[in-house]
Amino acid sequence: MTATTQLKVENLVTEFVTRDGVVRALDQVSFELRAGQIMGLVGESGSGKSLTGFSIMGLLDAPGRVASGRILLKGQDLRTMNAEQLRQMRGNRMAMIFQDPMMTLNPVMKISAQMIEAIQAHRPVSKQVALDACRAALAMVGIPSPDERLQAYPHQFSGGMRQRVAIAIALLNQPDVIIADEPTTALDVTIQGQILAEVQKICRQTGTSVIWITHDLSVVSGLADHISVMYAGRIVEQGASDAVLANPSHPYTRGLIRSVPAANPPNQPLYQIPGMTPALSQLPKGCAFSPRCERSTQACQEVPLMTPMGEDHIARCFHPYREPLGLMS
Amino acid sequence: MSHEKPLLQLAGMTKRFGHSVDPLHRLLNKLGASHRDQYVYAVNDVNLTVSSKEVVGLVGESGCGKSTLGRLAVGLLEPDAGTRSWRGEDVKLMPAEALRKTRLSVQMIFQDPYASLNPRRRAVDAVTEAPIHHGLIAASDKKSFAQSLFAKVGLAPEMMERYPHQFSGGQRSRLGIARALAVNPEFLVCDEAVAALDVSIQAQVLNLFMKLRADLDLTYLFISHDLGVVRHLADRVVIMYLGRVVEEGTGGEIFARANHPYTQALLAEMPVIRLERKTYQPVVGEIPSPMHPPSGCHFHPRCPHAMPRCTTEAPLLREIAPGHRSACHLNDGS
Repeated sequence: MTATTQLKVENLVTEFVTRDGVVRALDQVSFELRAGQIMGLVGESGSGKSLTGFSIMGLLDAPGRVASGRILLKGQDLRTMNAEQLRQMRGNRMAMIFQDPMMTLNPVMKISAQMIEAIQAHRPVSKQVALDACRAALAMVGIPSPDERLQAYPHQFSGGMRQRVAIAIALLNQPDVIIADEPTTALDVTIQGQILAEVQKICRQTGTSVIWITHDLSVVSGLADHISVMYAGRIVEQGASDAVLANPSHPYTRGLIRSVPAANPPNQPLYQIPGMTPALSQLPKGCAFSPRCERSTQACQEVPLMTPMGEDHIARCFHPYREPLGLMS
Repeated sequence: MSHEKPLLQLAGMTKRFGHSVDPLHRLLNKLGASHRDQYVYAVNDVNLTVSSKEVVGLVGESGCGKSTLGRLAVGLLEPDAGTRSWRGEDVKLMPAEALRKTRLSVQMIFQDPYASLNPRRRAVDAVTEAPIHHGLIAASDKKSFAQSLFAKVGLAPEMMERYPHQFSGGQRSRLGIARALAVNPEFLVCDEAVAALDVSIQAQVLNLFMKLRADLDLTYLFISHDLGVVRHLADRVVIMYLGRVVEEGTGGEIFARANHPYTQALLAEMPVIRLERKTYQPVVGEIPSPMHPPSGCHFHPRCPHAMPRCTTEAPLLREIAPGHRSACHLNDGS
């Protein structure tokens, strides 16, 4: 059970320089990902979950910048690399899947041309060898008759099929890490189920690690081995999925789980977290969740440190819940 | 109670989009070409009855016609066939004044309230425009009227003077609800009204829907792709697939004893928070294009139980238990 560490992120801080001062969008984000592991990165809009993905991939646009911290991919610090070295890593050792597959696909190029390009950018192989790899990748994500489909254009695919192609392109060079940013959010449930099935299978087969970014706890609960919950730029709770879901320690995680309709008896009022997510430029002092938290005290004026809650389970809270939530059957 | 006429009844509703062969192509047809009418049947012979104070959940995936049916229910679209009755009266036969009142009684809440709000009008004007136009309130009363509406939906009164872009997503949702409530409707059609909201905000808005229902005796047609949301709110659930209703029944029936293979597949794929890793065994295949739906039962190419009969004959929606109807040939055996 000592699989190698693929990706280690340490104290990542990402800032945006704006007219009104420096906004800290990611604060002390740390996690570790082992081979074949799927980590669910969960949070609501503006919590910084997508930004974490972009920061790792080195895709931040100005005025955003990674201010401090280390991003170690197989021990190599991505932050010390220059633009050309990073380009060699992207699409090769690490890949990203977006919510909208058309962000990956070029509408005026055949699928085959786009896929071959992705291979030949990183490996000096013949077109024939590249085509074989493309076929294998398409078959892996469950696209029927790959030969025919390689000759098609993106608009000839349905939404679910397009997302499969985007996943196939991410897989082409057998990357160590794939960052998937809400890839099934725009898809119907039956199609989402198919894609989750493929991703699960691929991780087991190839040992590729996945960061699955989503706002939907119920999607990652069936898929991920580990869960990190983000709120206002910080990871507030992290651990093995079972531990986090059965014993959510941070009041925010607990609130999130309790507000899902399926976790409440029908026709009864849903549990609701009062208030709304604060703007990153006007974060409350100390624990950013404290103004919405029913357990907050004077102590919460300081930023809490990550504290062990159990085996493989940590949370950033001064007043964590210790008892199981007891919602799940 | 049982003698009371249903609040809204849609009978044999059909709505198609597309075009028939134009004169030029008709001429070409005479010369041997084969241009045909092209229609998508977005809603195909659907019956829907909603009783007073009932919450009906309408569920389906993209392209199944649930939004079109919602628009037909509100009267935003004219059906190509079928009748729409309000309290037992065909709206087509209503005198103008009664029709106007009926229109006000049925209001719609859209997924994206931003799209239905004029970005250059203040919130107070957005919510009072309709009632002033219809003479429900005097223009001089608009401030106090808006204030009471804002209180109903949980918005602070000082937000009245703001523009739509100054509201957060959840607040904008509330504004959309306030606008629909401004003309004292009895019936609200909510089209994916909470789909774009974060979970914690979604819970707040769903609670608001339930509170309003209790306070104002509202009736809802709640359109959603999210079974979890529908399960929570709806008394009765209607499932659509490619323009047809495949199953309907009380919430309890559908979630405990789903009959149609499509409903069963939807329920199996419904994301729920679980503790054990799930091994996904999804339904195969894609949702077919509504332009060329499969013959017979629309679901047969993806159905694990499909029989030869399913490819030729469309199953009828038939009662399989009291109040529970399903359109599947499997129910004919035994």
